[in-house]
Amino acid sequence: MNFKGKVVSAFGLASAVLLSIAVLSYRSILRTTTDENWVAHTHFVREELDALLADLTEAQASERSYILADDETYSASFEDALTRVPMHVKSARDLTRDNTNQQTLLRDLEPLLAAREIQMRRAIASRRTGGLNAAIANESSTGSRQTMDKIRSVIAAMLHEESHLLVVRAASAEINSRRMKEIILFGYALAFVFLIAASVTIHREMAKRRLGDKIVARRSVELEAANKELEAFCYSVSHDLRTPLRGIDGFSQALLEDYGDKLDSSARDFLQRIRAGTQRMGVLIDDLLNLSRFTRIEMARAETDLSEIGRAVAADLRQSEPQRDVEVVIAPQLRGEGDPRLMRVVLENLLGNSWKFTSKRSHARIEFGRTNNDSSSAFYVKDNGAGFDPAYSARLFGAFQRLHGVTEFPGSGVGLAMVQRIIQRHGGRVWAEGAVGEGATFYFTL
Amino acid sequence: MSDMVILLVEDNPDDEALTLRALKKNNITNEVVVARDGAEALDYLFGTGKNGQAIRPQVILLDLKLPKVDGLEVLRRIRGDQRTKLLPVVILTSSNEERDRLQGYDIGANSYVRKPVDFVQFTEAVRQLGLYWLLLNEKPPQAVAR
Repeated sequence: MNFKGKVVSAFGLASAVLLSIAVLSYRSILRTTTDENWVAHTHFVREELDALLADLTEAQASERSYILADDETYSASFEDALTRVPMHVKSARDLTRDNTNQQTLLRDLEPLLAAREIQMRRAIASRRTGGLNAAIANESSTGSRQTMDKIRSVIAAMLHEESHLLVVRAASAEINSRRMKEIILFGYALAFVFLIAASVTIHREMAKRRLGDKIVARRSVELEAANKELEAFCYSVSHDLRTPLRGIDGFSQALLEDYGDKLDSSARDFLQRIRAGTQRMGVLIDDLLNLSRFTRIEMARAETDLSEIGRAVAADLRQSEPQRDVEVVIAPQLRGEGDPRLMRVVLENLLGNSWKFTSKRSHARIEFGRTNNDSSSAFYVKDNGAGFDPAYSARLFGAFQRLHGVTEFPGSGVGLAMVQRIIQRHGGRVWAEGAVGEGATFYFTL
Repeated sequence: MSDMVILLVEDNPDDEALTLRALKKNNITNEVVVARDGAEALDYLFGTGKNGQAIRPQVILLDLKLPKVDGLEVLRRIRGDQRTKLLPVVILTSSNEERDRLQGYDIGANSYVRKPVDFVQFTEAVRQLGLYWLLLNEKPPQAVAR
């Protein structure tokens, strides 16, 4: 995995873990609230049941007080306590609506309560009609104690049920909170590990980049030094290498002029050869300097009218050899993104080559145009000159490579090397097609 | 024409001989004062040399690569002095390096001529220089000079 992928996945995993913890924590908080509600609920139920039993007991105490004292105030408090009993039953039923056990117990409780009410009312009625002894007999014969015991046991069952539920819920809440703690601790540890991994990756990458920057900085210093050296070398070559050549050529010429009559023809020929050699070397030095110059100089790319440059170059060529009859066809509107100065050098060399290599043709023809294929449109310079052996086409663009003898066609073999450098600096490609005696076509892209 | 002195600033004896030969072959008979380094050229121009006589040449033929004080510095001093700032200076050198030409003209050279290797061409260049700077071109007035 690459650097970006590593960092993104480490941060992504850490974020996912932290987000999950957040969601789980929120749910846990909600559940804790629910658990607390349940505890409160249990208390409410117990309170209702306790109140129910208290009111019933109060009703029973009032009934007994009435039987003993025959005081109507006890009858009133009896009624009062009894009216509260169904309210407690209703509240208990509402509170335990989700619990079938409690509902069942409540259903068992209701007839018992009703039975107990009837028993007490009968006792009160018999006190009014038959006196104290009749009421006591009634009370003990109707099984009021058994009914009351049953009521107490049902309520005890209900209370027990609530206690049991509370214990179960507390245990489950305990388990939940413990699990939650584990999840949170483990999740934080995991997120921490991912973040450590991300920071280690970033740290390593930064170290690598710092190293890379150092290497780039060192290389550019080296490159600058090399360029300066090349500059100094070229400067020295330009100034110092040509001076002795001028001496050799000049004094050879002086010999010919001043002592020509004392020399025989072979000596004069030697001097001419010395002069030709020095002059040729002068041209070579200039070509060499030009070659390096077009590698060194700064480029300024702009939309350039190549047709116009081509026409200017062709006009110069015609002027250099006005006696030659050459048909030069330049397509209109040939435009490209290039440095106009360097584009002129390219066309000077390509058109100049065509001009040179068609010098032995009776109907010389040079064409400058653009291939139709628009997707990879290339410019071309085509001639019907001497051409070249395609087997050597790779050598065409090497510096000082020549496929023809100097006596056949003059030149130092730098022109195409220069063209190639310029085109390569423009990010383009240059190539050639041709055959011996069938002309040559040079293509280039920008 | 005796006051029409040419100052040739040239350190290479071969080039000096060839230049003098080319002048002679073109029948340019003016006096040629030769300075073999930049310091000597300045001595001639400002009269700081042994004979103490300052010369006001018709044209200065100035090489660039010189011992002691190089050609561009010589030109800079010439242009920087009231007495010599209007003197015609032709840079005559081996190089056609862009920065030499740029700096040369920037400092105020009147002309920049590259010495050809071919002596026939060199002779022709000297002939044209002589024709132009000694005959055709009018010297600036002396008024500014003291």
